[in-house]
Amino acid sequence: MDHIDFDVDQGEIFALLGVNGAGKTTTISMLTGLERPSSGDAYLLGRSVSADMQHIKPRINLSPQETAVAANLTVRENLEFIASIYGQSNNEAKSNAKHMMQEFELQQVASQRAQTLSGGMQRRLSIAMGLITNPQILFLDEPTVGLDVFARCDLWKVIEGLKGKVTMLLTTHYLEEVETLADRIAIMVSGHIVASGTLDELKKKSGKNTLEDAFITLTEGTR
Amino acid sequence: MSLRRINIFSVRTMKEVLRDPVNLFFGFIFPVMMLWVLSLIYKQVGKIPGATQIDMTQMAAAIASYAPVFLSLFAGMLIAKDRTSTFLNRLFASPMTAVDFIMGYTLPMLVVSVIQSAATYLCAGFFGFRITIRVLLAVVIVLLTALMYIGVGLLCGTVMSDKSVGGVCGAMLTTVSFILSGLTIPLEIMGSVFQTVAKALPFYNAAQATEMAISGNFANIWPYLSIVLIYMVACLVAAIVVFAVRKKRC
Repeated sequence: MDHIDFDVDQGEIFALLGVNGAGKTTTISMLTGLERPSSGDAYLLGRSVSADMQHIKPRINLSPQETAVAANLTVRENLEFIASIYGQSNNEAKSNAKHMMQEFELQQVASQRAQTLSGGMQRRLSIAMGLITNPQILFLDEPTVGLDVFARCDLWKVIEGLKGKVTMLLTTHYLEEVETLADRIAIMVSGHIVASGTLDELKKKSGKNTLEDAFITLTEGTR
Repeated sequence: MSLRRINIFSVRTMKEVLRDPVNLFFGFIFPVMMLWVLSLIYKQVGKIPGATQIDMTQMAAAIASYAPVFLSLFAGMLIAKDRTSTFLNRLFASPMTAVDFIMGYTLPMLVVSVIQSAATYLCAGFFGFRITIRVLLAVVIVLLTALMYIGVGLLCGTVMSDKSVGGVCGAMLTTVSFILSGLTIPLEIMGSVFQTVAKALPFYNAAQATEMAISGNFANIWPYLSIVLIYMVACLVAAIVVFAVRKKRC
């Protein structure tokens, strides 16, 4: 990563768009405390990720690129487990798990072990695990990668439903995902942000009518 | 560090281990099967004039001290899978600390070790082993051996893939510890080089320390146990340092 600079407004979905190896996951890793920047700093909720991660951690959550669920725990146990390690009481964890299963339509598989779920259902569970702690910021790293078109559309509906309630930083290399979900977009190439703005702003900046053309124009010469 | 988080994570670790049928087989059924098969074999060996005889006390002690080798496999596989599935990333981004993780992975394995020991000695009772209060001391010695194996598992799981952990902890370590514990091949017939190697490694010493405890030969526990403790401390320190460094990098 090299001198990247962006800000995200409360309640918006901000997308980091780029091809594989652009630095999207590394950016999320630094913002969630999984990697330390060699220089520079980032501020979440007004606190430094270099100095105040212990304050930040209880207030954010992450749905990693892989499904990242506990394979031999049931759906309900996975949700209660995450809620509990973030400090919720047993009753709170149970009640929130029930609520999340309703929100994400997971009630039918509540007692099923996570490893027996389909890819789409595991992703739903993964995002529900990210949300059960009521985070102020949710990081979604390639949330729909590897899903079929139906599972992807279902998940988009879920994420869209959260717009305005939770600030979300989303990484993806799917252009249609960005068009559907993102309020603002940063295009990344080789650890740099080459352009950022709303969809219309990016189209205007590139002089193109589609995001695909805008993406190609804005990244040309930088790859 | 948070006791509540350690408890929550320990419960999760225990469920992951006990819900895997392969773990159940190797953790609890396999040691009992070994006890049964070896007791039958040594019954026949006893009929051969001049053959080395191993009595049930020696055999129960050796198997009880060997059984925790599978904890290295359980711990290593679980951590490696947590890493490769990025479940550990999710947890590293949570308020959990390095101590919460290490205790949460270790404590349930110690509970499994106690259950293993209890199952082994109870079953040995059916084959003629006399259960006395001294078994409790033997269980404590096996727990220290178990800590060493858990350290190996934590270390391997932190740096290796689950397939590599299967090879190192599941194949290599179980075979080496089985042969060098003196359980099936008495050390006397191994030759001087192998004897020296076996006595320098913890496996034979763990079996001997456990046997001394069961047979009431308390004065002779320490020379064997001290070697096991050196390995235990080394393995645990290495595992904790490597895990903490990995987590700090995250």
